[in-house]
Amino acid sequence: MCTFFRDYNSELFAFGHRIGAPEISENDYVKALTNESFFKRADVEQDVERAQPGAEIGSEHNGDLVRKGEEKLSTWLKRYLRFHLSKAPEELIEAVDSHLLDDECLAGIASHLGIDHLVRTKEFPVSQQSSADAFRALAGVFSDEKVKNLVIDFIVPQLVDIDFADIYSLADPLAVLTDILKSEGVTEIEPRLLRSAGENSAEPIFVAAIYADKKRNVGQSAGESTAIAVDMAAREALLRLWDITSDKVLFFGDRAASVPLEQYSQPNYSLTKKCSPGTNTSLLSDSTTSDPTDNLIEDAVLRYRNVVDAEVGKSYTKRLRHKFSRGSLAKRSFRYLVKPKPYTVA
Amino acid sequence: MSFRRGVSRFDRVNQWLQFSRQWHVIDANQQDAELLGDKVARYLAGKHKPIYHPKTDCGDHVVVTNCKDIAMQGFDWKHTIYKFNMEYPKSKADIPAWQIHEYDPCRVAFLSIYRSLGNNLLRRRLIQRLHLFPDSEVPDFVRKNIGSQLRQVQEVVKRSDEYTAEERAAFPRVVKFTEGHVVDWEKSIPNPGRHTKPVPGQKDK
Repeated sequence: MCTFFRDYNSELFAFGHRIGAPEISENDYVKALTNESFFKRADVEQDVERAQPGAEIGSEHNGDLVRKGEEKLSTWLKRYLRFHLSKAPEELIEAVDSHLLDDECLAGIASHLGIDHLVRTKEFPVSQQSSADAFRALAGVFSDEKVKNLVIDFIVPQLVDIDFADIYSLADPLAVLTDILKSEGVTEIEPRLLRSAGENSAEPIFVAAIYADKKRNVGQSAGESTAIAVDMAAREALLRLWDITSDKVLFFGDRAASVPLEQYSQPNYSLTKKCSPGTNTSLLSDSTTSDPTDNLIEDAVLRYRNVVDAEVGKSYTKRLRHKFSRGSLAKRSFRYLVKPKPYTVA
Repeated sequence: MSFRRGVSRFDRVNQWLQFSRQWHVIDANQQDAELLGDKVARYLAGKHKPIYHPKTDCGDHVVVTNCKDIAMQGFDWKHTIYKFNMEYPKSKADIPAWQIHEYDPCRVAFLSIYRSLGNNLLRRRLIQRLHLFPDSEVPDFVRKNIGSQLRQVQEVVKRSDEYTAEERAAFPRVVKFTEGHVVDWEKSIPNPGRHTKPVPGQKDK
């Protein structure tokens, strides 16, 4: 290994200050950063001289700390989310929580904190799972207040990259929206087409909106077909109902830390319970998103041939080819049409 | 950060919305060819959009109807000369606008819009998004595409023979004509046709 890791203890000392918890003892840090597989390394097992740095310190792994830390992180993150998204269903908050606390996301944060240089594990390079586990185990070591700071400082900023429509993408948003609006006293919900352009062209565009009681526009969106536009409008309406709009201000840093998050431990309402029993509240799976659509190009060609050509005929570039190519096609002289006349220019 | 989100559903739809081509329709009835050309060229090139840049492919489609009724000022039909040069010997021709308009009612609109697009290579592609129709009849497959209507560049005035009898009666008068007064400009006089010299010996006509 490189000389950078020679002094593992001083690296740990620096890391403790970097993450803002110098009071945690070195042994706790070592335990949190040690993966179970570390003790199966060939050099550690055989106790060779100058083995992996830090091999001589500590003999415990972070298995139980990971579970403890995961719970703590999740608790604080959910409290934070419930404070901001008080109108959103618990399913959405759980989806965001599980996304932010999955291996990929935590491993990214851990690598930026320099954790994957300090992790003690068997494999090299350090896998996403073990570096994410080390981060979780750190939360297991920390006190509750420190975990809150850890969540607010390192995990919450990842929210800016999250698209709430994609992270909790319902399979049938219009049915869910109808159920929610009806429970609020709305009698009639209808999707309407606000604008459209280029219906017969290569780039059709439709703007659809969902209207409640024929008066209130609860959500609108665009799409390349009416079905997609209505679907997206329903998704937008749901986000608006849940108070997730582009101008939503999320608290970060000290502002978030000063919020009494402990009061938000109670879960929000459940969408499944709020909707009527027949409604499909499942999420879109990958297979449903990539369903094969009709052959759009073939349709367009056939439509052009049958509808457009039948009415206006071939285009000028094909019909009057001699006007668009200066050279003679069949070695024929075109001197007779050289002089422009009203019937040749027009 | 290392973790970045891809294109989400709303991103994709909004991108489609931003770069989709609009279909505008404008009525060329009694519109000055130059002014109409400037306006339509602006929309064909997408210059009315905040995202415009010459290399941004954001031009819209424009459907121009009633091209046969396009207007020119004063004696411009006679004095507007379109110059054509095929760059062959004897291949220069200067043709007045009225001759071209007589043969193809859409061609004057095309020429003025094409000139307004500027002298650049982009205009060959932009002009392909122009759809000209001599009268108000537009094929169904084009009409379905249309999504917006452009304001005309000039106000359409009412021709004198389009006023009804009530409107004429209600019109304020300075002079009252006598009973037998002949008002010959109420209706345009039909073309009596060419005088043909009767053949000697021909009975009728």
